Amino acid sequence: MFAWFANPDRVMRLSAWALPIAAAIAVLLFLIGLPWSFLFAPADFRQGESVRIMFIHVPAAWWALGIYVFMGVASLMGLVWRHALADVAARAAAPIGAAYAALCLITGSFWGATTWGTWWEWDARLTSMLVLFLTYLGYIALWAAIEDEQRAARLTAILCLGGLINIPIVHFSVDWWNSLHQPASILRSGGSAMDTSMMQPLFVMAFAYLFAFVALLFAGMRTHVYRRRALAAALRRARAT
Amino acid sequence: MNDALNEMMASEHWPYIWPCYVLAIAVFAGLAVRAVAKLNHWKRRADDER
Repeated sequence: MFAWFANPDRVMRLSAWALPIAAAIAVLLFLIGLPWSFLFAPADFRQGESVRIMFIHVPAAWWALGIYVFMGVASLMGLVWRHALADVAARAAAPIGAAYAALCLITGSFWGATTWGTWWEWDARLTSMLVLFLTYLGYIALWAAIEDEQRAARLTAILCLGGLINIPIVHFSVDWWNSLHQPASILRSGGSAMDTSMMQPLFVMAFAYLFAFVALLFAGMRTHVYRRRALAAALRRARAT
Repeated sequence: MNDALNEMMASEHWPYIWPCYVLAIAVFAGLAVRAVAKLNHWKRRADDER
């Protein structure tokens, strides 16, 4: 199946129809999820209205981690099996993951300010999430800094795989260390501790973020394929003259 | 809906809630505009170079 995606023409044909569909689903889910979470979801008995920040913050955190794992798998495929489009997929995913990580950090800071009384603490969850955001930035900067694309793909893949060590640290940090951050309340053993009236809009928002990622990923991959074609054609023309 | 909004706006958490929603909308709008602009730019370049 992964080999099927190694053909740029096939991916361009697939993304030509999958991109608008994913974008339309994302817009629809946001149109449902934003008013639901902002206006109609109940206030929390302990946190009050501030719990509404969760519907923005938690999906951003989930997918900032998820996108990095996706990049790790793509990097491994590019590095080990020389998959032709794996580096393109990882490169296209990075700015989206960085934006999700930034959104998670900033909204988390607002949520912390109103519930903990502090905008930032150097505790394990917050710090490891900041490290993830900085890893995204480092990955993007490394791609921009190296002109030879094959060398850039190899080095960024190694950086990305090294950064994977941080993913379990982010996830388990609240269990391994004393933290201001609350422990997992949904993805935990023993089932979710959240009421369905909050879980439903949370999952609508989570799927909205996911489909937005898929649409933006396809757009990014198409951009890089067009970019490679344009640069290759320009090089051929320069050699011919 | 108005009652829910009024209740929320009266809450002490309101100044922390609305910026998160505005930021989320701005982030997704920004990502979408950036993606479309870059895609159109390189598609045009690839078509011109052909």
